[in-house]
Amino acid sequence: MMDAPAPPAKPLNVPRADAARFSKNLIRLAVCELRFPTLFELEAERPLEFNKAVRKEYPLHDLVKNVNVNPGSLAQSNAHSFRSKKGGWTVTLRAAALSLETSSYDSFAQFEKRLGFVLKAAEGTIDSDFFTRVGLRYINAVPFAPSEVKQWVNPALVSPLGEGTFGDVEEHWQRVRGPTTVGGYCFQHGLGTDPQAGRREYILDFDFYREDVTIPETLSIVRQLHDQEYAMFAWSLGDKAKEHLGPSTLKK
Amino acid sequence: MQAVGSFSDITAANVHTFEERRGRRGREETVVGERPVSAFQQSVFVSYRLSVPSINRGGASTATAAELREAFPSELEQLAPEADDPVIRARDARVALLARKYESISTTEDDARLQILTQRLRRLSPRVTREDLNSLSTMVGQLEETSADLDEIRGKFGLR
Repeated sequence: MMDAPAPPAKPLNVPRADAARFSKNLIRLAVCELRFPTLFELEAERPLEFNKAVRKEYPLHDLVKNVNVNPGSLAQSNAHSFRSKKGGWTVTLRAAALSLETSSYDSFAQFEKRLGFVLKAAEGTIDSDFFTRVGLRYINAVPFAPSEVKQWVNPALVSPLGEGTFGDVEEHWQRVRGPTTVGGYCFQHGLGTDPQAGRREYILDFDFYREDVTIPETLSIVRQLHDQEYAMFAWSLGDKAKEHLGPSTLKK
Repeated sequence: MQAVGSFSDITAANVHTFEERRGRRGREETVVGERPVSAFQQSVFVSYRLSVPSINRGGASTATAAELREAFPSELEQLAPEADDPVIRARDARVALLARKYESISTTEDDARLQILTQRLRRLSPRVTREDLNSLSTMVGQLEETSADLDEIRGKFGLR
């Protein structure tokens, strides 16, 4: 007897959110990673063509080395890091991935523009016409105090924490992974500590992705990932966070 | 096992995600071998500084630069200096990827490159060349001619 086919997986189901742009944001780090078929040569030598193509925008080059010591073996890996003059943006090229990262996120339009630039620069270097995985990740942080957490974060996510059910917790986090209509997502949220101020904060970490993406469709896919992440971000916020962001300056 | 050596700071080193904050190890978690169970199941939380990194080698999450410092092993040092011949270059890279595959440490990206290189090598250095095919074709022609001559001889002497 044949088994009945499994029903299709239900995708993420958060309310749609209209595009918005805020004068402030909560993004601590934004990163887009494009994985491609492994090219060992990229680790072995400085990627001259790529270096030349990005030098104007990312003039500061570092060879990022790492050594792993395991019983009976020593493994070394290299990555090339290209930083913008002011240091807020970094492009990293590894043997199987290219990433654009910023700790100075301003808007998706700006991020997309820089990603397009990097993508064009990489076309002649990665020896592939597709990416095995395209991931877009936003790590957000909001202030944390047990009495106010339900105002900053959607109570559906933090009720026990806000109501003191768990007491004064030392650690609290959750990770959710599932499908979306575009690909898949991983959402992590929980308590963290601001490394500079030493204050506790609440982290909302969104990582959406799609596998097997051709180069021409990459930017369009990244935009779709962004739209879905924004919808999830909007859903995950509490009233106080929305108030903190203020009204959108984007004209409808 | 802890990674040693240093990654120079790339950027955003001030961002401490979950994986960096979970400094304690061992006692709170069920440990399998050297790794807590959660480290196997949750590849994103890499604060344990595993010798077998779980996030960056084909992991299921988008890696940040800070996470990259947690190491991703490579067999780079095993590669011979790059040759000029594209066939030799492709062959060497393919051998390195095959080695990873049979050590069960290959990633999706490694497998994808392996397929690309296999196709490329088949094109650049096929097992049966056009010259081989032409030679075979000539031999078949000669055999057919000989067979026809034999038929003719058999017919001439009434041996059919």
